[in-house]
Order: sequence, then C-alpha cells, then structure tokens
Amino acid sequence: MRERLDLTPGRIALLAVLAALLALVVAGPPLWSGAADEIDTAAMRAGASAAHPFGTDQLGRDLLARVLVATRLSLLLALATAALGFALGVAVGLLPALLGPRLRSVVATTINLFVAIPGLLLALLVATIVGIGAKGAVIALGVALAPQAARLTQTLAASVGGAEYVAASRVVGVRWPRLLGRHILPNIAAPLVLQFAMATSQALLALSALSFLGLGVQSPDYDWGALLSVGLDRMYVTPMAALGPGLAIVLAGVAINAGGDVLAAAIATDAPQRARRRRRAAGLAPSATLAAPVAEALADEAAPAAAASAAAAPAAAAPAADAAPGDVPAAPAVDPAPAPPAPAGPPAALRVERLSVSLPAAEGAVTPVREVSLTVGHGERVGIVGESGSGKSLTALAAAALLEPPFAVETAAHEIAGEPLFARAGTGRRRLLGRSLAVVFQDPLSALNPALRLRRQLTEAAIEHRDLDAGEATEAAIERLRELRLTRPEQRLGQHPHELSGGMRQRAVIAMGMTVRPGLIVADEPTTALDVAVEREVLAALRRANDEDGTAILLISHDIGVIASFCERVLVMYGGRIVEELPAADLRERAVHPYTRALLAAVPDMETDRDRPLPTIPGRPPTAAELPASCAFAARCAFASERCRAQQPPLVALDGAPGRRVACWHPAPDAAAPAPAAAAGDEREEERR
Amino acid sequence: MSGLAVRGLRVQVGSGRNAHVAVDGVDLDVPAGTVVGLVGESGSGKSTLARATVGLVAPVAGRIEYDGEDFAGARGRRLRRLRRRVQLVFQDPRASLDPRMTVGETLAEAATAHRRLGRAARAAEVRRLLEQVQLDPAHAASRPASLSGGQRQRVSLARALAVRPDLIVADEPTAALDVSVQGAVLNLLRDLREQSGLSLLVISHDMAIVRYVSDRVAVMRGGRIVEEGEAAALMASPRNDYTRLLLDAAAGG
Repeated sequence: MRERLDLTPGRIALLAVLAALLALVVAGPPLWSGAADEIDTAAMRAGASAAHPFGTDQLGRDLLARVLVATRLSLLLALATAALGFALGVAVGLLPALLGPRLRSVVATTINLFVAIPGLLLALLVATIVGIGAKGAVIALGVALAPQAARLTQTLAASVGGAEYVAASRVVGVRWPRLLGRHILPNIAAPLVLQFAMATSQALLALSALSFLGLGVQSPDYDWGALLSVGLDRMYVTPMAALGPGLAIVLAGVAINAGGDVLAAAIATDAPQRARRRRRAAGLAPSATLAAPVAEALADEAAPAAAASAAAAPAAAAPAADAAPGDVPAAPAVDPAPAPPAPAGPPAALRVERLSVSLPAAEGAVTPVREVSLTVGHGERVGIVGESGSGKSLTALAAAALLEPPFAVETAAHEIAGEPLFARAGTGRRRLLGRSLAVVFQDPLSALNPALRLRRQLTEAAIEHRDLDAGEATEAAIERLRELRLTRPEQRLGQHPHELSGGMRQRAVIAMGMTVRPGLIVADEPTTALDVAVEREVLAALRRANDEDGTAILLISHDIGVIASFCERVLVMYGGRIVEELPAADLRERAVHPYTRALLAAVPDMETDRDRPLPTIPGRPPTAAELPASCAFAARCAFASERCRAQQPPLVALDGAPGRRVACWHPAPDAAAPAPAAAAGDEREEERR
Repeated sequence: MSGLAVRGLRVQVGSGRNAHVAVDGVDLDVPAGTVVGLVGESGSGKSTLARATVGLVAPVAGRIEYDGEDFAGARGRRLRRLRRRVQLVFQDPRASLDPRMTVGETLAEAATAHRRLGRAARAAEVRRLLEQVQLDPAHAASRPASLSGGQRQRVSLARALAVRPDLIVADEPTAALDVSVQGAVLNLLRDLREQSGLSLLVISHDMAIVRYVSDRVAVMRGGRIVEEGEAAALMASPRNDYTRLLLDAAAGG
C-alpha cells in the first residue's frame, strides 16, 4: 500500500500537516476564538513574547490565536472557490461527451474561447458584477477557474468516452446517466482530483492576495491574507506577525497538493494503472523504450506485444547495449545440452550460450529468459515460436545486444559471426554489431525516421560501415529495393516513410538492414501488423536476402504457421526456456514436447474437423513473475508427474535424432502415442494420413 | 426474412479531408440460426461493418434490416430495440471491459439495461451467465485485470448474452488472445449456437477460424463483399482471386 501510494517520509509529513489543518478547521474557532477576539489595550501592537508568540495586533488581540482561527475561513473559502470552479467546469466539460457532433463542436469552441480569456480578467469582470468581499472573491475566482476545469474534463472525457468499454456499454443499452456515473467519471476521477487539489491551493493563494489587498474578506472577518496585511507593516519589528500567516498559506498550499497526489494515486491504483505503477516503482523505466513492448508482454498482455518504439533505431546501426552481466541469480543446477556445434566452414552467424535475462521487480528479480542456448548457422533460417510472455522477443533482443538496463543480460558465450561480443567494447562492439547484424521489428515505422527521406536512411549505414561514398551507397540502396521488388526504387528514395504502405515500409527496413550485407537479420514479429498478401511480400524479401546473400535469419513469431513455412529449424519457447528444438519439417508430425503438440492441435487449420471441438490447453501461459523452478508447462500438461512439478527438465538431445533437443521428463514417443491434451488433433492427423 | 439483412450499406469514417468510405455498398445476410463468417484483412471495412450493425456508426446510405425492420441511422428508443436483438463482442476484451468494474457488475449492468431485476435475481442471472460461458461463478467478484485474456473474452461474450440477443456479432473474437487459449473461445461460440440457437456473425482475418465456425462465408475487401457462399463450397471452389489468395495463405500456414 505504501509503495503504491508513493508514501515518502516527506509526503507523510505533509499529510500530517494536512490532517492538522483539517483539525484546525473544525476545532480552531471554538478553541481559540476567545483569545483571538480578546481586546487587550495594555498590549497593543506588542512584539513576540511567550504570551503572544506572534505578537498582537493594533487592538492587542493575540495573532497566533487569530492565525489558528483563520484556518477555517481561509481553507473553506479556498475549497468553495475550487468546488465552484470544478462544478461548473466538470458539468460543461462533460457536455461534449453526451452531445451530437454539431453541438459538441459548439461547446468545445465555447470552452476554448473562455480558456483563452485571462483568468484575472474574468475574475475582475465577475467581481465587478458580484461586488467586493469574500463572496465576490469566491465567485469571481471560481468562475475564472471553470474554463480550465472544463477543458481538462472535456479532454479526459473524450479519451475515456472513446474507449471500447464505453462503446460496449452503449451497445448493451446502458443509458447516459449511468454511462457518465459508472464508466466515464470514475475513470477520469484521478486526474480531476489532482487538478482540484492544485486549484484549491491556487485559490488559497489568490484569495489571500485579494484579502491582503483589502478586496477579499472584510473586517471583522479575517483570513490569513487579511492577517498578513496587518502583520506586514511590522515585518521588521515583529517578523512573526507577518511570517506566521504567510507560513500558514504556504504550508497549507503544499499540504493540499500532497493530499491531492495521494488521493489521486489511491483512486488510480484501483484500475489498470496499477500494473504500470508497480512496474515504475520496480524501476522498469518506461523510458527504456525497448523495454516497453517487453514489459507489456511480461504483464501478461494477451495482445501481441506493442511494437518497439522509435529507439529501435535504424536497424543496421544497432545501438551498443550496456547490458553488463548483472546479478542474475544462478539458475537451478540443470545442465542444458549445449547448442549443436556449428558445422565446419564459415562461423555461425550467432551463437549464444546460456543466455538469461532478468530484471528487478517489486518481489525481487524476475528472470523472463532462462538458460537459452541457440546457434544460428551461416545462412540458416531459424525460427523462435512462442506465446506472449514466453521470452522469445527478449531472447531476440538480447541476442542482438539491444537490451539496456534495467534488463540484466548474462551469457556464458555470445558470439556474432564467430567473434565474441563482450571481448570488444564501445566502438569496436558497435562496429561488429553494425556490420554483422540487422534487426527488423514489428512496426516498421518505429525503425524509420518520419522526418527523413528514405535515401538518407538507406544509405547512412553503408556509408558508415562499408566506407562507401554517397553515390555508391545510393546505387546499393536502389539495388536492394529492386531486389526486394519495391516498385520504382529511385523514386522511393526521395519519399518519406509515411508515403509508403505498410508492406513497403517493412521492406524498406529490411533493405536498410541489408545495405551493410549483415551475416544475420533478427526479425521480431515482422509481419504481425501486416495483411496476408503483404506478409507474403515481406517474408519473400527476407527469403531473398537469405538466398542471394546467404544472410542468416532469426525469425521470431507467435504464428506457428509462419515459422513452419519459413524456417529450416524451429525453437519452441515456453516460460522463458527453449522447450523443444527440431527441424521445421518435423514440426507438424514429429514434435515430442507436449506443449508443442498441444499448441499445434489448438490452432485450427484448413483441415480441422468442423464437427469436433478444438482441443484446448487448460489454464494460461505463466507470466515472468510466476515461473516455477520446475517445468513451467507442468500446470497445464496432461502428462505432468511429480517430477515435472519438482524439477526443471534440462534441454537435452533427443536420442537418435540429430539436431533435435527437448526439455521434458515425459516426451511423447516420436510420431506415436497421441498427447491426451491434443487428442482430437492427433486423431485428426491420423485420419488425414 | 427473419434475421439480419444488410442492403447497399455505405459507411463513411472520419470527417473532412480524412473521410473515407470504409464500407462501400455491402449486401450481407445472417439468417436466423446460422453462423456467417466474414473474412478480410485489416482495413477491409469488416470492423466498421460490425459497428454499423449495432448502430455505433451511422451509415450514409443503405439499410440494416432486422426481421424486416430497417434500423439504419436509428437513434434513441429504436436503437435500443435494435440492440436488444443484436449485440457486439469487441476484439480486445482488455479494452472493452471497464477496468474499475467487477465482472459481476459488468454483467449485471448489461442484464438490467433492458429489464428490471431484483437483487437476488440479478445475482442469479450473473451466475447463470458465467456458467453459460464456462467460467467459475466466483469470478463475479474479479476485476478484468486479474483474468487471463481468454477469460476476459468469455466475460465480454457473457455481457453480450446478458441482453438475450438473437444475433451476436463477434469482431475478431480471438485476435487479441494467446494461441493456446483461443481454441476455448471458438469452442464456446460453437456451443452457444448449438445450445441456444443464436445466430452469429463472426469476423476474422483468419480463414481457418472462419472455416471452423461458419455455415456461410463472406469475403470482404476494400469495403465490398467480393465473394459469398456456403462455407464448404466456397472453400472448395473459390471464384474470386482474392479468396483464393486468402485460402492459399491459410493452407500454407
């Protein structure tokens, strides 16, 4: 709870102040109004003393008592002002959410118009009408606050009003008062409360200023501002006479803001922001842009991870990651089989031994990738398939050295094109990565700079890493685009990314990566955002890079169909580990891991028997925080035994099957005994044969 | 004709310079008791069509007939009457469930939108709905954030069922789900149809999914229906090149 509400010691102190102020609002006048109103002609304009710590005023009344008593009026007026402003503002601000398009724009324009009028001007105008005095000041300042509140409400309500769940409630037949009360207001309450607290402290300041000038609270009433004006002319003689009320104003303002913060946080934590907050609290900086899609996946997002954002840099110029080996807790003592040795000849495009990725979290470090060993041979097409949260994207990013703190990456070996990555530092590593590796992300727009024409983006890597001059680099880029079957390549170079279609952009990114003739392209869900026809173009482009340049491809996808048809070798990931490795040709018929088999059976294809229910896998994939020390699939597996629930099965070579590895205590016999979890699916396969 | 009949539907989205015609003269029938699959890529207008069938977007031309009554451009009371019969299940259950409301509150809200129910009746109805979508009734107290994607999608299906509609339009009901849990949702759609005689319009970009659940299939591209027919026949002998492309892609995958 404390962590959720960000309760730092300073904030707790301010909350204590706020509580004290509220107590004074209630108890101040009854306790001290006697002392505050007691006229003492013997001690007029007395200095600070033990009897009168703040001194006395021109009638000998105790100023400390008057400051304490004034708390009620000062705070209640400030609250009334903010309440008036927000009542008006919220009411008007919610109107656009309820009205049709035409009236909506009328209201919106009116709000904009009022926002444009300086608040002071509006306040003066209203004050002239209502008259001077406490009531006038409150109404004037309240009305002046309203446009801002209306604008804020309008913006917030528009975003929540456009949310799917509001549309869903409308479709179900929920009427508008309930829509407002149950769906819109609660979901915009947190920022409104925050803003309300700020408005209250601003109103306190403004009201005090008016009273100070004699335009606000009129004698015999008094608030802190009025007391300040009494004390100010004795500033040098009795500093506390002026400092006392001044201090009260400042302290109250800060305390009210702190109270607003905490209240808003309490409201917000009720909702999905909770996860985000936690992550932030855990230091999973949302600013680490590459971390964003990953953190999404970690938070058990069913949706395909959002695309990596702009920091995903021009693919070829892979930023050097400072992923220093961190304090990854030693994994349980299982000894995974090393990745099969690369055949003699050119060195493997990528070799990673015992890769683990961990990151700090509220409940200690979580390790979403565990002991992954993989090799991508020279010119090989390897696929990693897995569901969200399986660790596949993190594995790819770590392999491309793109993970930055807070992710801690630990490997026993990490070689790119046969060269150990961590033997080099700084520039050397950047050059190695830049020349040997290109990365293609799900969203091509994230890899392209929207402000630059393609020419610049497609040539700079070649100029940097291959020492070409601009003319040669342009020639090479045109050549690349042509190879990838982009129409009119010369013209494309003069265009900006937004002028291209999604498929063209993705091919441009691939072309960009290929201009340096890298040994490896890591493609993370490169076709997920694309349509079927375009998906084919992009896969064909990758295939061409593979065929013609011998560029190895590491393709990451949740789509087992894409992986099976594109790759030569498939790695199946679940719960942060590789659970099975096998040739793509064996995937459909000869997989032995229960998860692989169940996954294949669960996805309908064009052969699926329509008269039977689909085989399903009970439960859901574990999140990174839920990963057990034993087999992660055991909880959903029909074959799971005590051993599965106690011990992590190591990834070992499958007997008599070269190039195949599996991590399972009870692998299904190859192409035999159907897995119960996938029973219907296997029968189906039998029928087909 | 009983059931949904869309005729010459034209829907424009956006306004001013950004306006474009997302649905461009669509005819589509969902006869009572049948499951129609609508397949097409993103941007083909299929989601806009789905939204138009429940009056979330107003068409610029055409008719949306339900049991012979035209509801195109309906507002107020007439729109509510349409929505008692036709419900929409949104693609992303994470976005379409209010994060602040418990599952029970969400379902109760839908169940009481058109009917008055006492406290006990409401609780019983929530329970019945959860059981209908094969969720533990104890989930009534859960919030969406604590459910898995598949469970959430079942809740939004239950919400649509709460209105007791004749037709449910499911817009990419499994696209936001993990592969290992989408099968359960597809099975549920089939079961519902068998148990309650519900009609379904299932929208997907995935030919294999549409094939699995549908009696009839319509293929949409660029805002138009390019081919429509009985599912098995259409799969066996597609007449349109685009249909063939989709089938090839599905078979290759």
